[in-house]
Amino acid sequence: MEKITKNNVIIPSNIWGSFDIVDNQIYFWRVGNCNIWLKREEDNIYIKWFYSNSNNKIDNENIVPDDEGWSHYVIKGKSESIELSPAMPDRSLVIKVKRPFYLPPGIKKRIYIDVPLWICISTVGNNKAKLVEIPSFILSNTWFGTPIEGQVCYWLMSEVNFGIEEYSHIPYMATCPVTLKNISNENLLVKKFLIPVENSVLFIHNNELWSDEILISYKGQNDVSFVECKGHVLKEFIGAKKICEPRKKQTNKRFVRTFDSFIVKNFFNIPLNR
Amino acid sequence: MDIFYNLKMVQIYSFLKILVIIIIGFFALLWITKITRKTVEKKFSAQMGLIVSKIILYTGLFILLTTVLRELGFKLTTLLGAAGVVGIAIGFAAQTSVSNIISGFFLIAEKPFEVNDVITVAGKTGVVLSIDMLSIKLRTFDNKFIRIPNETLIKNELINITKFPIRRVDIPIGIAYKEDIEKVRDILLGIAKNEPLCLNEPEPVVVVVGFGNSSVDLLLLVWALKDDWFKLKNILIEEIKKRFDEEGIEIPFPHVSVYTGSVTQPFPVEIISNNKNKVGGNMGEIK
Repeated sequence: MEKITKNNVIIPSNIWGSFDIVDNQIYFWRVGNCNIWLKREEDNIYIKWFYSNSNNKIDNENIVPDDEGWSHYVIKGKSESIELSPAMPDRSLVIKVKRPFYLPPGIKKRIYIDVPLWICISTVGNNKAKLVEIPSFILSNTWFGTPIEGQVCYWLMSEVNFGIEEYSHIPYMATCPVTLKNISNENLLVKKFLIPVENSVLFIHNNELWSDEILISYKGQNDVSFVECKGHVLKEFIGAKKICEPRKKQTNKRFVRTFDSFIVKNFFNIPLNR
Repeated sequence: MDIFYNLKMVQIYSFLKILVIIIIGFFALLWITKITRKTVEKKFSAQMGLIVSKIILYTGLFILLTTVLRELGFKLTTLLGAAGVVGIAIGFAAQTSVSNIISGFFLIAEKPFEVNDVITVAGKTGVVLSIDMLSIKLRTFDNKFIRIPNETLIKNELINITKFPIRRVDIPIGIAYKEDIEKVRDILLGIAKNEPLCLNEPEPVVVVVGFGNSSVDLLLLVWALKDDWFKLKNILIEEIKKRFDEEGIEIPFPHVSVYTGSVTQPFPVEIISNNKNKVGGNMGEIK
């Protein structure tokens, strides 16, 4: 494993995989917006993470955070290695398409969306234990449903890619192929839709992370859509390896409203109640 | 001797029979009550299970009691007659309790709230601890215990704060008349957008409510999960104050402007010093 050493901090060149760790040495990873410091002292592991934003960047990994804010994990035995592995988000994503487009009736189109991954930090070996799972980006919450019922999801404003050929992958994102099928009699305006990534499987192919294919069939504005996580990677990717099971198994195909969030024009009851 | 012996045997036999009825009946009743409660709890709710089990228990005890009394030789018709009279007397005395019990049944049927919901009723707010035959029990946020009769719940307006999964946070803000409303709107929406607890949808909105005596009144409306409501409100108010201070946006105190009759004329003021010498200038006496 190639690594860079800057003063006291070791910075592994990869973000995913197993890493040998020694006592009293601090390790640093930057995964998306998430900056992670880790150190081991005998059978204690200390981890601290910090999210950068435009106002608050970590430019110098050597500036190790203060003792406050370290999460302390007492593990069984002394673990010589730590593993950082990717996982899909723990909730569905509402994708807000930056450039909406129409899908006429009868048309089927596959699009590709980058989904930020979660980082799962575990010990390796006989006493394997998951220590913590943190997102690589802090995604904001959104509500998908009516004021009376629905589900809380993550909000992601995203470009939509239509072709796979010129796709450049980002190591801390999984590419999610979504096949949209308009089986109604009306035009479908694709500007916002929900994808149940918690039911998705994660694969690796040529060092690129892919989720399984998600199929969404649109039946019309007054009807529910049909959403299915296929469970397998695209057929083009021969030899892809499954690296993460879905968080929640999809037992049967879901019928949900995926293209709007039930939010009708009079969602806000104005005049207002103080 | 034989007669006395036979009589004694009959008495012992009756006594044993009654004892067996009581023991078996009581334990059978407890077992049936327990099974019924578990079954109803699984299928419906804990409070329904409790109510049904109590009905079965009291009914069973009544049947057991009448059986024992019959074995002891009491005539049930006479007893029922006496019970009827007593019942009327108790009925008058227990009107409120009966009303509470009946109100309890209506509450169970309507289901306006459940255990662990936060409700406001008759001016009291708290977490529902239990829903019983005669009353409900609340725990207030400062840890007081409140017992509210069911009748009060039926008669009064009840607000269930946690019935729905999301709630709106309304933050009233007054800004000085000199401020740019569009600029303030952008700042407020930016604060809402950057706060993770604030839901992206339904979208945050800033509404101009009106022109107050001292300020232009705005209202920031954001939505949050019900568990985050209180925390988000605090965070937003602090963040708004901080940003307004940074941007130099004035939140005015309530104030009144006084004119002498013409906006263009200065208001005449005279400052009188301690030694009562008048200070010159465009001043007059303050009266």
